Amino acid sequence: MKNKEMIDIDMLGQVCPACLLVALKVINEHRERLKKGEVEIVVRTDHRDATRTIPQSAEAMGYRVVVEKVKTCYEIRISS
Amino acid sequence: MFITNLYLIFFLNFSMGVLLGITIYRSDYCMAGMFRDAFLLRDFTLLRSLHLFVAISMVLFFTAHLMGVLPFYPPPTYSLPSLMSLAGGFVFGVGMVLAGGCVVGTLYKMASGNLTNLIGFFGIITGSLLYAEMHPFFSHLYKTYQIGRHITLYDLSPLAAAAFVGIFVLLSTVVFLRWKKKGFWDVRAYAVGYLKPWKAALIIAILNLLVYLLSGWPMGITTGYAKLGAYLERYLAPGHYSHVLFFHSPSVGIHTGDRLITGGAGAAFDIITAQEVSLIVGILIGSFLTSLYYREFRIYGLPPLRQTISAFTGGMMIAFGARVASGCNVKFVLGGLGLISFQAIMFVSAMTAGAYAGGIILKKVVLRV
Repeated sequence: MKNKEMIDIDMLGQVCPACLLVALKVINEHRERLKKGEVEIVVRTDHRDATRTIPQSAEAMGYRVVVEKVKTCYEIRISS
Repeated sequence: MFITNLYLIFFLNFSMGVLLGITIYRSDYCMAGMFRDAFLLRDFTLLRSLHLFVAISMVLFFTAHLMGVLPFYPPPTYSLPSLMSLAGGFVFGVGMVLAGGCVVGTLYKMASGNLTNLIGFFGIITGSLLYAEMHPFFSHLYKTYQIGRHITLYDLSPLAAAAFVGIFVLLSTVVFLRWKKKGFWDVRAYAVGYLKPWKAALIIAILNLLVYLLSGWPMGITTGYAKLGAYLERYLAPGHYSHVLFFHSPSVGIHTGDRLITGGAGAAFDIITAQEVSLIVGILIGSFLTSLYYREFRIYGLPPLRQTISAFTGGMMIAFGARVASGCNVKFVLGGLGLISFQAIMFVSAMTAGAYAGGIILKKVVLRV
């Protein structure tokens, strides 16, 4: 099985809604590779509402989303 | 049941502030986000809950008035609308989006360790101090461009107000039931202890009614920020402070029996300290403790430079807009819409336009995405 490339987006401490806008931009930039399963996007955020908005948007685009609390922040993993 | 003991009002509003801090932190009930995301992302999730909040507030305020339990109707902090309500509302709307939070959002986010919002907080204090220098000019403008002769729709016609409340609540209920069918109230987030927005709306409406019943008028906050600035200015530049008119003229005065209770932005313990500074401290403590409880408190460092500048500038615009319009979103959205105040309707309309403009600036200039 081929290893997936991880794209790490660190949005900790940034202004709202930078997290969602940047995540959407990166998803669109890597749309083809995401769909082929070559890449996984990991968004790290301290914004609680981003745990609603990012999964909602990514799931609506047909991606798989897993959210996990890691220490004091949240990791949102987006893959196909 | 209006309480005249300022220390008791301080304690009660502080307690309400703590509960408010817990509620808004858990639900991430960001009003800047509600308006911004509706335009920027076509996401109406939080705005729907605000619609619910306004409908509940309208019913609660009107019923409480009919029962004769409200101390003042309209509250003494409300006045005739002015064209400056529009100007201030627009500036406020742009500011809250650039700062990443309104006057309440800034508090609960900075209490969890977010430095962007701490910068926004200092922007609000700085903006309040700058406004203080120009207060006579803007105060004159507000009075010059005042319009109408009535503060609320009830003032104009109690019958029209009753009909408006009835129709608004009826139509809203139909809409709410449709949204329920579509599952719009069942909002899902993965944050620990997440409180659904409709529950937050209900809790905040009840807290606001309690504040109104016990301490004279619904929640307000921005004069409290100005008062914090006044203490700072009195400490750093006492000579200059003593000459600033804004800090030496009360913004509210109430006769209760043979007693006159006054309050303003000056560095003194008065009704504004009891009403508003107490809320600020309460929200900070409530949200700080909640962030500790959910193990989310952490300082992640400064944001990128453009966001830092945006947060500070936005904070200053929040303060300026609120002072020019004689109130902020807490006063006019959380209180004024439920009271059907003309000032509130004008402020909120302009604030909505400001949030739209702020969203474009944030996206194109600050974040460049």
